[in-house]
Amino acid sequence: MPRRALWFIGAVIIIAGALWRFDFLAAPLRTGALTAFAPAFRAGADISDGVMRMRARLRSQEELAEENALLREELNRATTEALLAKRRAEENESLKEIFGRSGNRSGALLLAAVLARPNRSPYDTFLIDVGSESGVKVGDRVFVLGDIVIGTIDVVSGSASRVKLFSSPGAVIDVLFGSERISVPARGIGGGNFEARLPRGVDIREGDIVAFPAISTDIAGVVQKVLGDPADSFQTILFKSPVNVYETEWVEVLVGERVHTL
Amino acid sequence: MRRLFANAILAAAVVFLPWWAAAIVGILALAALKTFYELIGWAFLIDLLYGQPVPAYFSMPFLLTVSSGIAVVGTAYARSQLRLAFRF
Repeated sequence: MPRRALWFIGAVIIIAGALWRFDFLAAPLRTGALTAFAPAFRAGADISDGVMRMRARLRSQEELAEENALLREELNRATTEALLAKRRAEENESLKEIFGRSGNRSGALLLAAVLARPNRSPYDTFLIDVGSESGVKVGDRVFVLGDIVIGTIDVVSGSASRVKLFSSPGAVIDVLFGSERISVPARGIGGGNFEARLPRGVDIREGDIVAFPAISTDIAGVVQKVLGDPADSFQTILFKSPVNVYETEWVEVLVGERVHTL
Repeated sequence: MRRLFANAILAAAVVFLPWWAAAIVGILALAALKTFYELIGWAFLIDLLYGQPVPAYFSMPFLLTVSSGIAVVGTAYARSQLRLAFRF
């Protein structure tokens, strides 16, 4: 092996080790890489949109008409469900106001386009096109469809940010299960999927909503499977974010949120 | 020329393609080129852009960098051993 190559490999390993040990050295490098590559990611997203539009034009009219009809049906169903959900949310809010607690979040939702989805890396993170210039800060929560919180901002540059998903492998978050709002820690297993353990006597079913512990209705996921071994006093709950993070094109960042500390 | 081509493909893969596509290109480049140490640089870039500490691996944030380093060194060692074996 050429000596030059050995020096290069040695230098990279020493640098990576130093950055691992002293994370404050890595932060400016991450920000710099994000700033440098944000235009390339934007160009990639534009190219991808162009290709999708071209593919849509090449499809036959019959195919498109069929898909149109199916989507209209789905839209009608979703609109009805959304109206019912809105009505329930309004009732919920008015009840909270009666008791002097409003569930509204402080801060404003900022719309952001996804530049690179989690499938770009093995780390369950993705990049969005808003940064510190738009008021985004590290720790800001990231939502999809307004109510489904999927992660937080962990690296910010001027015009781009990185989102760390709550479902990142090994990440642990507290969630609430069922109508009794039982609080347990849930572990991320990647791709919007989570795993939690509850005592066997707790009644949890597929389709139950999992929420974050707050007065507001921030949804963490929906129960997919309940696994239990008769010999085990605990049951394993697998739940998944209702949003497919691999297909998400737009997210909302909650900027300016007031965090109350004790 | 081949080296330049491999680096260009990897650059495009890092920005536009899923990580496993970049990994496949990297592995092919390791096999085709002599000591493709640039792979470590590209892995480091992926770790800077997307990297998170992975609890299963000592919470190491530069997992791809280390893995690619091991792959490059391992491939170079294997090549040298194969060369030696074919001499006898």
